[in-house]
Amino acid sequence: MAIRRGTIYRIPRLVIASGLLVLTNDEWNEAPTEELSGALVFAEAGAGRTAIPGLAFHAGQLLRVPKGDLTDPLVELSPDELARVEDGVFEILGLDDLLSERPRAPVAQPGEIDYPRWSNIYRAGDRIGTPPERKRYLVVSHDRYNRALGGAICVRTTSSVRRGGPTIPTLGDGVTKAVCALPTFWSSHRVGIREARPVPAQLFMPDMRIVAAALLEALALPRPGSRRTL
Amino acid sequence: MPGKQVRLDEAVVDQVHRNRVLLGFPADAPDGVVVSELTREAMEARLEAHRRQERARLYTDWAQERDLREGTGDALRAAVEDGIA
Repeated sequence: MAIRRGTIYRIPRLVIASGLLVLTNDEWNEAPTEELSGALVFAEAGAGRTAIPGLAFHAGQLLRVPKGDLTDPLVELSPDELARVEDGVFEILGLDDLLSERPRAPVAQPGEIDYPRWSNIYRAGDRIGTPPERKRYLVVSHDRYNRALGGAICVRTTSSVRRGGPTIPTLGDGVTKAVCALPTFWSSHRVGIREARPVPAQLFMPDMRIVAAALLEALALPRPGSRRTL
Repeated sequence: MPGKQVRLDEAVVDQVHRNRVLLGFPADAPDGVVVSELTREAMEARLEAHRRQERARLYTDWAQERDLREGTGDALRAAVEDGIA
């Protein structure tokens, strides 16, 4: 089955969500990669969800899922419908501020920090691989979202020696690569917030701008200034 | 409109002149404006095609990356277990 960006697919394993709106670009979707990313789609409104006009759906967390789990295409979004979801993704990832000529970091949130924080790198998920270890993830969603949702949108970082590119950029240390084609949500309890942190434990504005540009291309989002006005 | 002069094939200029309306320009649009706009669009299209080819090559390479394949399905499984998906 050809998987297309901008189409909502049914995933039988989902319990609460109605499907997944694929957002990774179509070169990624067509490549022999195991997974892709998109926005979970729900029938009900909720925190962090964006209503899709004209459809009884609300786009929620970005999630990385195996391509093999996608079954029937439910609906292909029109450009206007997709633009509304893209606006929501822009906001959650703070892309307008990060990619502006005068970049600004998302505003820090007051109160207890019991959530993964923007620009920080943590170990998250189950122990996997050989030897078993929790993989490193960079938080790309802003802290207002992370606090409200009890989790964060993250991308994997790796020290793989494979060639990097615009959507898997090599960061300023010349070693770390961010796999921006697979942003995914992790609940706070699955992120090692209080555990020993990997090195580097945090990225700063130059690297976060590189990651923002990579997310833009990986998710085929319109460039700031060329976005549709709804 | 200020700019550099370049020599264009006469047949191209004739075609632009005759087809400007079909190409989506006003009937009185200057040839230079039409040619510049078409050239810009063609360059953007070629650059985008190049970016797509590069991305496809990159992704085919990364599809072999063991470090990525090891976690296949873990985020979906966790989201379902956590009651968010």
